[in-house]
Amino acid sequence: MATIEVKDGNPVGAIQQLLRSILERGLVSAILAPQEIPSKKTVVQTLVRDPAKLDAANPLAPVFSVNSARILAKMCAVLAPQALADDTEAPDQTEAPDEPDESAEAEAGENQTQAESADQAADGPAEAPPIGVVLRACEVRAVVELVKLQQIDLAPFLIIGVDCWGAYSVPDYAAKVSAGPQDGSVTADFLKQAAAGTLPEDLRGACRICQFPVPTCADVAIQLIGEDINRQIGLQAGTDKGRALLAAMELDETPESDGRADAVAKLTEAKKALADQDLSDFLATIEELCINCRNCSAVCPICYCKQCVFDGQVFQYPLDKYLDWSGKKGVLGLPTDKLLFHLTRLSHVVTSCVACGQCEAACPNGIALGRVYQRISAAAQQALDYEAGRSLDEELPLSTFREDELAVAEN
Amino acid sequence: MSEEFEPKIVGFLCNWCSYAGADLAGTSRMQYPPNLRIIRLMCSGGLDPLYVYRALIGGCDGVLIGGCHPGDCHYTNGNYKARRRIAVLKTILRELGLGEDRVWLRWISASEGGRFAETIRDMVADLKEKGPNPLALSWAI
Repeated sequence: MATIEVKDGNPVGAIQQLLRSILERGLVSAILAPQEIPSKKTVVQTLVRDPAKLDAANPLAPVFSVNSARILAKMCAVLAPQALADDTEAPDQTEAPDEPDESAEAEAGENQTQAESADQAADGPAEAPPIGVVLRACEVRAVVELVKLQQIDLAPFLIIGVDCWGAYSVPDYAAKVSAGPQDGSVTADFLKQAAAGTLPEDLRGACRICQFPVPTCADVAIQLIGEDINRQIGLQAGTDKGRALLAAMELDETPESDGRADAVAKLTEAKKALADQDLSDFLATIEELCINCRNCSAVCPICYCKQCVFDGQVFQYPLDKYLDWSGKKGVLGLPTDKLLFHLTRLSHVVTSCVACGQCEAACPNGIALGRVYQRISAAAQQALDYEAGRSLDEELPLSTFREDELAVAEN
Repeated sequence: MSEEFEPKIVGFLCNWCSYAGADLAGTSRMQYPPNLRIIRLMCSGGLDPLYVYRALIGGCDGVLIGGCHPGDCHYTNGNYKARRRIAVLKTILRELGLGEDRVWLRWISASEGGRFAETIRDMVADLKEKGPNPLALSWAI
């Protein structure tokens, strides 16, 4: 494991220095990292090419506004002219990003072809340095799923995953900044509490019960949990790309801290204890609180269809149909299709859901969707022996099968 | 009261096995309760869970998904994929307490008219015991 030294008890400064340094050395062509806005009330993702403009970078700020996997998918949505030229040799690849319809799920077996082409591209002679992308653990896991769903090509990116204790909602974070933090910044206060093992109770719903604080599949992982982050920060390479970067940086090598595995286990155990939540009031909650705005779908990294099935003609009914339903039930709740939308969305995303909780943050009426998705996705993924974001090599569970399995689903 | 309740069942049957099994039950004059409304699909693997939810929310009391026995799918492996999809659907219904045991997935071949009739008899008996689907009383559609 490589380490970087933390000066003046300021881990954020050390990470800024690291990012600045890899950009200055040309090891990356740009850095995509969250930066504090001038009012300090939140952070936004930024794409930085000038090393001098990284002064407000703060990947440790405990606030989570956008799942950046969506940002990467958007960056991959339009193929560059060079990529299009390459694709004439590999026709399989051209169609994938252009047709993210439901058939993509069925055709996900073609992933391997895409992965192989991506490898070839990485080996090519005229290779530009990658874009260094700084992501929290659940964002990396969403990226892994989107790669498998053929929405992200990893070739142009170098994923720098950061350990994550959780985050506040955007309004809560802003309120804490306005209230005036004790130790100079909300980040410093939060890191102090996290290091002491006493996480604040007002984290985002999904963060409170998160079981995946450590990034998987990242090229480079920034390790904080179990480290004395006022003295040093660990860097662990997970891929050849990451190893090459760390080698070029010529960092100090130290053995992995003994406390890390224990600290991670302790953190997930503590959060697991909060996870069990009765979902039996879901139907009532949806009927009472859902307004069918579909914000949950708009912010979800896994809900990637360009056109949602609920936008189709099937869900536009003639007036007679409303009267017909109302006649059968005696009373019809409006707008229609609220429960149907949520159940269908669950069916579509739970196998790849990373429980980032953005759906909950986006709900105008505060429906605790993050916890619903966390629990159901964990159960569904366990039933199919799959874990979203665990590995780039595992096939998407709904595009594959085993002959001898799931007898429990049969009647 | 429970004697008067007649459950409504929507059956999504694949063209090549279960639908032919239903056909055989009919042409063989096997008796089974008339509680089933059949929708024919080309393959159980082509069933979008959306339609199962729609049936349950719309107030039907049970949903039967019939496919070819494992290994017999006309499209090689559609039924295996259906099984995974239905496993997810049942997980969702179970976690939310919306009655996953009202959804049955059963393999019925074209030669199993008897098994088809028996499936419907079993399912109707089971649903009569359970009573009407609570979702039918909700305002939702």
